[in-house]
Amino acid sequence: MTPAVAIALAYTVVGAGILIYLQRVRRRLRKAEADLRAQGEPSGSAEALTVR
Amino acid sequence: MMRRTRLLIAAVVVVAALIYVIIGGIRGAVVYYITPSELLAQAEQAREKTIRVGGRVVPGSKTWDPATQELRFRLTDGSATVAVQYHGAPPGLFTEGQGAIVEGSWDQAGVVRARSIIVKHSEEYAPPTPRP
Amino acid sequence: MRSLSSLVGGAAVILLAAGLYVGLVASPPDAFQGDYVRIMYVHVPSAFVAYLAVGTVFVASILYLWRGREVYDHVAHSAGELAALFTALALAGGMIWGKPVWGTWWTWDARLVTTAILFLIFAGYLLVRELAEDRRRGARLAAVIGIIGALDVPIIHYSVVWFRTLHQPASIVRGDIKMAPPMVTALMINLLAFALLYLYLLLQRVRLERLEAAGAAAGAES
Repeated sequence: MTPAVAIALAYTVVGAGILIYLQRVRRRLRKAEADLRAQGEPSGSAEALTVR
Repeated sequence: MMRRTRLLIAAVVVVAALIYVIIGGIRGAVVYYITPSELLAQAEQAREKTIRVGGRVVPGSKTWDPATQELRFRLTDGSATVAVQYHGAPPGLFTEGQGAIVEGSWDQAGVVRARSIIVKHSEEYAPPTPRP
Repeated sequence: MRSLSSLVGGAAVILLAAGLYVGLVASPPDAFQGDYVRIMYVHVPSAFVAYLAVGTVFVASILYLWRGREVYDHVAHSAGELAALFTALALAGGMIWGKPVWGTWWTWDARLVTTAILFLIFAGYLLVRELAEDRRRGARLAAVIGIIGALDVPIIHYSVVWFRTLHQPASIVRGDIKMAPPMVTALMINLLAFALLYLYLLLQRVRLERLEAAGAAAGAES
């Protein structure tokens, strides 16, 4: 493994690990916010059902 | 149910891996390698067994024959020295004067027949000094 | 709360960019291992964040068992996830560094073994929470695992001192720095960048945990 390959591999693995995790948290955050908003509306409304 | 099954499989894998790592760790980790002095002190018990010896590669001791793929060098801890023989190219950063750990067996002639060589470096980091 | 999170996130991005620059460009190669030394600037900070995360789990778990307030459990669960992630990243980066420099991806060295154990403990920590039928029981069991698991960190840290290992000991010990100044600077910038990144990720993850708990509570009512 040449230095360039090893360095690229290490930085990519660490960077990708962090970014994928952050993206996953962000996606779940958006979903949780949407769910809470949907629950805040009068139950049985059509909109609440579609958001869920 | 599917999710629970997957989680249970994951849990079994984690526990199995934990047992595997702990057993492997106990065998190798407490004393990762012995020094040439320790090897000579237990010379008879160590013979024909798999051993891991670490030390500094004696400067000027390395001979490498690309035709036969024979690598020979000596390892020292300052007081004792052992000869090492290895079949294959030295690893990239293998340098005389640096640390190395070899795994292999100690034959009747008192030579360590290495199956693998690991380069050990110090915790000192510095840029290369410009040569005059 | 959200503005603090954005502030920390912004500072982390700036410092990470600076860290990338000093790590890849501005810092010198090493006399023995050449440019491979640059892997240190992501490997050591990953391990450092893993320590921080485990420390967070330790404190939050004790507080949760003692006081029983949900917020401590939210923090512990979030930090536990980050502990598993960053221990895995430290192991991966270390293996990629070890292959060219030591000549092996993995070996049964005390530092490597105890770090692998830490990862498996926190993988188990997360699984216990997912598997628990009763959320609160799962949280209490996880807190115990987190507290016991945290005891592995001092073992990892001193493994290179207590045992004879392939892994080199720490280069920066109080009052004794065995590293050239430009390399110390590069490492410090990256350590600070990763610490801020950790704080940002933790704040985001705790917010998620609170929102999901609120959603579950509201869902249970209706």
